[in-house]
Parts: sequence; C-alpha cells; structure tokens
Amino acid sequence: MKLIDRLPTDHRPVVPLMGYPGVTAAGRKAKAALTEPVTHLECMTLLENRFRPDALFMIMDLTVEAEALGLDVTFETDGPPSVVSHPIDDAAKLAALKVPDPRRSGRMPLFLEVAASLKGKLSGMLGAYCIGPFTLAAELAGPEDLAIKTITDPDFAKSAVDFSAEVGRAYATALVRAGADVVAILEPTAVMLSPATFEQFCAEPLARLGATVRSEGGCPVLHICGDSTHLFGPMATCGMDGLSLDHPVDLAKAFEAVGPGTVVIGNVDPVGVMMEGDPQSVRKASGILIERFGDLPNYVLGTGCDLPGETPLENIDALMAMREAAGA
Amino acid sequence: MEDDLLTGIKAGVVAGRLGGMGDMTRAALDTGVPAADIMSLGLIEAMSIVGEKFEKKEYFVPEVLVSARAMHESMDVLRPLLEASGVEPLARVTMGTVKGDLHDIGKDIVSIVLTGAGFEVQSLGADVPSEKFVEAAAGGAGVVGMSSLLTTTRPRMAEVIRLLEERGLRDGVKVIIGGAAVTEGFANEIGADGYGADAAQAVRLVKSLLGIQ
Ligand code: B12
Repeated sequence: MKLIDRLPTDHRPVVPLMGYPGVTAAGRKAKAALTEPVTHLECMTLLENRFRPDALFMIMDLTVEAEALGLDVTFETDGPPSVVSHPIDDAAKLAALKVPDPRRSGRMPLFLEVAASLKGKLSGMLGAYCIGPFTLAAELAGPEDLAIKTITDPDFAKSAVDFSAEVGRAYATALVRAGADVVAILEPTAVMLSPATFEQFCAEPLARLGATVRSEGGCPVLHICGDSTHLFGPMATCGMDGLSLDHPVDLAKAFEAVGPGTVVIGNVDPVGVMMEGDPQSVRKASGILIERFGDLPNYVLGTGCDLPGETPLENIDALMAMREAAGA
Repeated sequence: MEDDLLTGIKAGVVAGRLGGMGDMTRAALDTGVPAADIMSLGLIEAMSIVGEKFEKKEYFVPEVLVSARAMHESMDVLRPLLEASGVEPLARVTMGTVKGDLHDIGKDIVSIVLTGAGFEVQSLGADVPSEKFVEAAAGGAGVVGMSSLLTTTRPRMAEVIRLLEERGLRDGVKVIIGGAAVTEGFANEIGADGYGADAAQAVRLVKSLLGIQ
C-alpha cells in the first residue's frame, strides 16, 4: 500500500523527526542509544508514550552504512555521530568494497533489532532511516572530492553512487523485513547539485532504492535538507511515496511538482521554531502551514529536519496538538 | 595575441578547464603579459564571474570547485613571480568552520571566491579549535572568518571573540561569520564585525570592512 493510503483519516497526520529529544528526555547519551538496543528502545518507548506520532522514526544516524563499510566513526560531540575521514578516493579502493550483510555488519543489527521490537507495538507507523546513495558516496570519497569528480571523473562518481545505492538496498530491505513501515532515504549532500547533475547521478539510484523498499512492502520517502527547491522536478521523478522537506522551501512548489498521489511532509523550522521557540511559536508556525495545506489529503505536518536534542518536549506537544486543529 | 591568451585564461577558469591552465599561463608570461595582469584581469575577473553564476544558481557547488582548481593551476605558476615582485594581496583572511562542526563546503566556497577577489586566504579546515583562530589573528591575519551550520556549535564564535579580546588582539582584526546556523542579529549579539549570507556578500563585506573599493 502506498503511503497516501496508509495515512489516518480521522485526524491530521503529524510526524516530527524527534529521535534526539527522545535521547535527552530519557537522560541518556547519544552514543548509548546508538550502540545499545535496549537504550535505543527505551528512548523510542518514551517518545511513543508521550506523543503517539502517526509515524515514529528511530534515531537518525548518518554513519551506520559507512561504518558497516569499515569507515571510522566518532561520537565525540554528544549529538549525532560523524564519519572521521573519507578514504575511498579511487576506483580500486571502491572496487574492493563489498555490500555489507545488514544482519552482521557494524551497528546495522541494532536498528534491525529495535525495529523488530517495535513492530506491531506502535499506535502509528514505524519509520526507519537509510542513507541516500549520493550522501553515502560523499562519506566514502569526501563531499568535495565527489562533487569535483561529478565533472572530472564521472565514471568514478557514478560507480560510487551506484555502489552506495546497492548498500542502501540491502539495508533497507532488512529494515522493512524487520518491521519498518516507512523508510526515509536521507540525501542531504545532494542539495549542492544542479538539477542536471542530480538527474545524471542521483535520480536512477534513488528510484532503484525506492523501488526496493516498495517491493518489500514499505513506503519510500525522500528527505533532503536545506533549500532543495531547485531539485523538486527531478526529485518528483524518483517514484517516491513521499518527500520530506526542510524549512527554507515553500511546500506549495513541492505539491505542484509531485501531484496528488505523493505525500509531502514538512516543514516547521527545527531550530528557529522547534528548538528556540515556545509552544506559542510552534502553534503559529504550524498554523500557517495548516492554513495553506491543511485541506490537501497528501499533506503531513512535520519538522523540516531532525530535531536537535535540546528541543523542549512542550514544543513537540504543541506540534502534536495540531492533529485536532481546525481544518482537519 | 596577448589579449587572446588572457581571454583564454579567463574563459578556462570560468569553464573549469583542467590540465592546461599552467601552460596557458606560461605562454601568456612568455609573450610579455605581466603576472599581476594575469592575476587581476584573468583569474580575479574569472572568479568574480564564477561567484555571480553561483549567486544566480547557474553554477552549483561542483562547478565552483572545479573552477577553483583551474584557478589554482594558473596561480601555482604565478605565485613565485608575484612573491618575487612584491605584489601584495589585498589582505590576509583566515577561514574555518568552528569546533564540533564538520560542514566545510560553504566556507570553502567563500574562501574560493575571496581568493578570486584578490585576498590571500588561509584555510583552517573544519572542526577548528577556537585557539587556532586566535593563533591566526596573532600571526597577522587581517580578517578572521568563521562558519557554523550547527546551532549547537554557534557559541564557539562568541568564544573566539572573547579569546581575541583577552589577548588584546580584537582591535587588530575584523571578525566575520556565516553559515546556516547564524544570522545578522547573532553577529551583532556576539560583537562580530559582520555577517555574510553567501559568498558574494562575503566579498562585499570584507571589502567594506577594510575600506577597499
Ligand atoms: C550537506 C549537509 C551535510 C553534509 C556535510 C558535508 C560536508 N562535509 O560539508 C553531511 C551529510 C555530512 C551533514 C551532516 C550533518 N548535518 Co548537515 N547539512 C547539510 C546541508 C543539507 C547543506 C550544507 C551545505 O553544504 N550547503 C551548501 C553551501 C554552499 O551553503 P552554505 O553552507 O549555506 O554556505 C554558504 C553561506 O551560508 C555562506 N557562508 C558559509 N560559511 C560562511 C562563513 C563566513 C565567514 C561567511 C561570511 C559566509 C559563510 O556562504 C556560503 C556560500 O554561499 C544543510 C542544510 C542547510 N540549510 O544548510 C544541513 C544542516 C546544516 N545539517 C544539519 C545537521 C543537523 C547535521 C547532522 C547533525 C545530521 C545528523 N543527524 O547526523 C550532521 C552533523 C555533522 C557535524 N558534526 O557537523 C542541520 C543543522 C541544524 C542546526 N541548525 O543545528 C542542517 C541545517 C539541516 C537541517 N535543517 O536540520 N550535513
């Protein structure tokens, strides 16, 4: 079933990306939540009990796939981890990499275990993340080197992105089989590309990854943060069930690009409003979105991107309360 | 002929033609074009066109990075000559992303466009400890540029300014900031000298702070 057909009909769907506020609320460290399944699960349970979102996403981690491929990862800041260096700088090193088995590589098993534990126990859907092919290729080769190679060595860039899509397909398949209903494909680094370069390198691998999620019975959603307005055209051709978009964009343009069968999720400012604001400012910002898009059956109110761990829970309460707001 | 070579160098940088820029630069020098002219009429003009194209979304990050490489091929030939002839850069700028923050693309674009505008830019990289910015100021940088895209790393900028004050270096240096986590208002709040929303603004900002036309 496509995402649009799985949305609730008795209230307006609201889906904040709130893994890190969950970690903070549980009084845990990001590293613990991302290395110990019980701790991850504890954070998820807390979020589910307090907010009952229409989709509960696990904690975002853009390093899982790179780490499974052997890259070093640091948890130095008590926030999201990051990749330390980008050693895959030529075709030979790329060719030496194998698609990891999600059941036994790095921390992939942790996410599979958490998904399996949450399956069937949530009031809404279960959401998982998988890194986008261009963003993973940029972690392997270095974002600027990969950007340059899209022009100077397109064969390498293409192979790196293609290989990364295969890594994503194996992992996303395992996530859906473990219990994820929705897989959000995170492709932030592609925001720096022109529409033509996006089409040349990202569109087909993303479509392939999305098709895999769908064939396993999951719903693929494409998430790009930052101002992705220039990419709406090619993003709409990737065959996704939904687009999740960040606060600098005007969602009206996204609705135009995708048509009525595709869900558009967004885009309350995660920092300026959700973290730095108060419940009043959350009501105001989401009220404007609802006034503009609340009547569209393919609209889901959400945050533009992952919420920082410092986001006050009352602000998330205020966002969730918009489920019942007028216009629903 | 000389004009053709200069036009070729300029066009080569704008188009990001790699591999032949060094030879083209040597050929121009052989026909008597002064190194300073190749720098200002070739490279600097080319990079200002690249900056404009980026601002107008005709160019995106990959195109700017490749143009910057082409510019560097030519600059590698010119640098020893310019140094020998004592041609001074407009000013020295130190640029980095603050500690804890690994987003480096934005500040690199700013560095590239500033270099193209005739500044000497020292890049400190990303995840830069506050102390390093202070060392750069002590070492004679006229401008310290800091980038932050993560809100959680913003306080580092105020920390650098405080350290500069403590060391008595603050008056001798202009501090500019940018990146998705900061605003003009934040720049005022922490006592920075300016905020730039993009690379083109960064050039205008640095020039106006230093009183350069
Ligand atoms: C690409 C990207 C990444 C890449 C970075 C690749 C790299 N090596 O740089 C990857 C995928 C690795 C990444 C990781 C993360 N990211 Co990120 N990322 C982005 C994204 C989509 C684009 C940034 C970019 O490169 N833009 C292109 C450049 C050209 O633009 P720019 O940076 O804005 O720079 C221009 C101007 O700002 C200005 N400028 C920049 N610096 C300076 C400095 C001076 C002195 C001046 C004058 C001007 C200036 O000029 C530049 C050129 O015009 C932004 C979205 C956004 N809104 O920016 C999120 C974003 C910055 N990321 C974000 C987050 C949360 C993260 C992660 C924590 C995600 C996670 N959950 O794991 C990690 C953190 C890693 C770390 N410790 O730093 C958030 C930050 C939220 C916040 N305010 O705190 C953003 C804003 C997305 C969002 N809406 O939530 N990210």
